[in-house]
Amino acid sequence: MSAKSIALTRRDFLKLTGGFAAFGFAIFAFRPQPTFPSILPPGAILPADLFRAQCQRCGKCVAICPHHALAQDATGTPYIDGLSGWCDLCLDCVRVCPTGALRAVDPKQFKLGLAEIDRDQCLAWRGNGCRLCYEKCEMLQKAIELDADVRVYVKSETCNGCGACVNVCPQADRVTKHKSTGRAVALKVLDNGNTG
Amino acid sequence: METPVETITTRAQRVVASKRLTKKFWARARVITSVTALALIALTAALKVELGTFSSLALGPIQFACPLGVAQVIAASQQFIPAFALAGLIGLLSIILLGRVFCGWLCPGRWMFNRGPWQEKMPFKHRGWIQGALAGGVVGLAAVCHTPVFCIVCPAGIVCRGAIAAGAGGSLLPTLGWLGGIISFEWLSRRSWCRDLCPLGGAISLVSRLNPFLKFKANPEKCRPCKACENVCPEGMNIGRAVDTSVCMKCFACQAVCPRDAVEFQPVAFKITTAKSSH
Ligand code: SF4
Repeated sequence: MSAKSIALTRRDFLKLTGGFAAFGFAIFAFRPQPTFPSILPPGAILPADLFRAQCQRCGKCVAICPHHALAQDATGTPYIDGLSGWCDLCLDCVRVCPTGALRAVDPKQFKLGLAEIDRDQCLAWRGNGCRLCYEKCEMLQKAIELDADVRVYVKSETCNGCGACVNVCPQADRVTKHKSTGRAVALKVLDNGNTG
Repeated sequence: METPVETITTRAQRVVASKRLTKKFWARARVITSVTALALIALTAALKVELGTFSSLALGPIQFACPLGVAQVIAASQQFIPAFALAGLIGLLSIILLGRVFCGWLCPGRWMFNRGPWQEKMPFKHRGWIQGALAGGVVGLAAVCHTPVFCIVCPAGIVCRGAIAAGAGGSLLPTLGWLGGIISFEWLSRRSWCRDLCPLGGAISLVSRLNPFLKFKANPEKCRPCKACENVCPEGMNIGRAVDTSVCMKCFACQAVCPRDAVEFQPVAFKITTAKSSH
């Protein structure tokens, strides 16, 4: 090393240590808490806090996802919201995940979350006769039902939270309680874990 | 009256001009390599081919992982993940083989930061200790917060995330935000990120002590004490006097500027051991 380097004064030391501590703490304290808990990729069967500890934020799962269903939030944690694409449980993300944060699951059984319809926003519930999500879901899980008035219901036993209904929903009002989507249907985290 | 056009006539001037060109050539080569690597990441994200990022790279069956990331994940989750740890070991091995090539040639932080006029010219004295403490500190912070905290802000990581977002159609705003945060941190502390602050660079320089390849060395017969290399070295190292070149990121700047062509590039420098035994 060169003979000429400057001495680390106590002030510098305090400044550096303080700066780093503040930086680290700020990240920890202000890490984005989604207004609603976000859906983690399939295979995130670990408890949510353990998933956050084990995920390296490498983004391999996002890069490989063939349906563009996954995205990384501001801290790099992958999530699914159904806006850019929906998950068909191909489990490519599980295959590429290097850390074991995502683990093999049975795609027939696994539930990512649950679709929840906002009846004030939904066009079918407002009587406009929209049934795009029903038609989409008929091809996939058959988890959306129509009643006599062509209003849509989600069957919570069959819905696996793939997000296809969010993806096709034409409603784009910003005024909705599911702020992150603006659609009349949003994915809800299941009670038994898998929360973000 | 016309001012006389300045022409390069004397031999010394010609040498200086060609040196400047060589220096520029290496600088461009580094930026181009790094940008190409990022473009490759974006391309694989667009084409849905498995490659990975700087954090975790899969070349066929061989998995590389960032050793600092592995250490943080294991500390944060308090679980030993054998396959991931092996990938981290392969990452360590590549550092031993290549030294800080990652810092100089792949990490986008190298050309994104370190360029303000506000920075102090010289590194701190006990920088080896400081860097070790930084690297250890982020692992400790990961254990305390149960989150790999540095992975979230690591410049290499966030730019890779940006590349993936660009390829797969996501938002670039988080990447820009974090980069802005790091630049302001650099500005507030009046330090160069790569030289003084980066925990990842610190961890890599700790390991690259063991690296016997791609070394720069001053030929004692040609070298006369001057400061040409010290002034261009991003690490503030004087290659003529340096005893520990573990922080060298193989950028070729000293070789390009040396007025006496005294800096020799040794692809294999096993002399390290003889130097140690004679010491
Ligand atoms: S591949 Fe695994 S470690 Fe990487 S971002 Fe996705 S979940 Fe996290």
